[in-house]
Amino acid sequence: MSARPDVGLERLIQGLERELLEAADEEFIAAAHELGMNPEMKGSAAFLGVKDLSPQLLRALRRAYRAHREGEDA
Amino acid sequence: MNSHLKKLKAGELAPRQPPAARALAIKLVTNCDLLRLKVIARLHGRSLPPDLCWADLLQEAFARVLDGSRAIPVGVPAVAFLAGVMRSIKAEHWRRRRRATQQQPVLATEYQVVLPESEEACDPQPDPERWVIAAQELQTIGILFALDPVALQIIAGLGDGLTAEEIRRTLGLSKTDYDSARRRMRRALIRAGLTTAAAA
Repeated sequence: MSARPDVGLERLIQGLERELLEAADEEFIAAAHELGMNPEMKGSAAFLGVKDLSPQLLRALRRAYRAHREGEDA
Repeated sequence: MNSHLKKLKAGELAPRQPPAARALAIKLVTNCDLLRLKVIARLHGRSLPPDLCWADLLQEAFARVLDGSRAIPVGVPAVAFLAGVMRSIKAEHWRRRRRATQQQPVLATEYQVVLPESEEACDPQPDPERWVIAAQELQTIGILFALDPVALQIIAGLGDGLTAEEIRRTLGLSKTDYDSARRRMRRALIRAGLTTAAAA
């Protein structure tokens, strides 16, 4: 492994990303089922952070909206 | 849209669909693509600056494709392209962070010597924070495969930038054994990427 952890990690991530891009759809569905998730179901936990807004995004949107409202009121 | 916004009280948020859900609605991706991209985003999330999370990275990549700032070239699968966009957003954030930390001492004191222009072009010294995050994450990934010595060796090979074939040859593995180790690695990675433990 590279002497620099940041370089080693990036190379590793790229290698693992290739693996994930090559994986069959069935591998993702099977893993979700193993975790007790049903990706066919609307609102499945498998899509947490994907189909809903993440807490970070919600916070950013709230801040932007508040700033927008304050600008309107001023 | 504006009239709807005006009906809301201060502090309330108009219901908004995240970019990934919009991409699904217009059939740019499938449900299974979203699972794959979530796992990839969480993988990249292991080397993000602390102020950014994997979900931000994923949604930002979708947003850039949907608003047309990143167009998917003909013949390139949407998932592979979005993974590339996530990679470039991550690199962009680290660059911005590096520039900010380099500027800080200059802002703090007028007596600071400004770095020569060539400094930026050189291979930069790693951000100490990035170094620590990376060391911790390498350890975490190691733990994920702790019970699988072959997978650990493959991981070390990937970290050295070796190709699959080079790793297989170096380890002296048959194609069957190598493919079987890769399948186990993918399973562990996908499970880690879909689990809800640190989803937020």
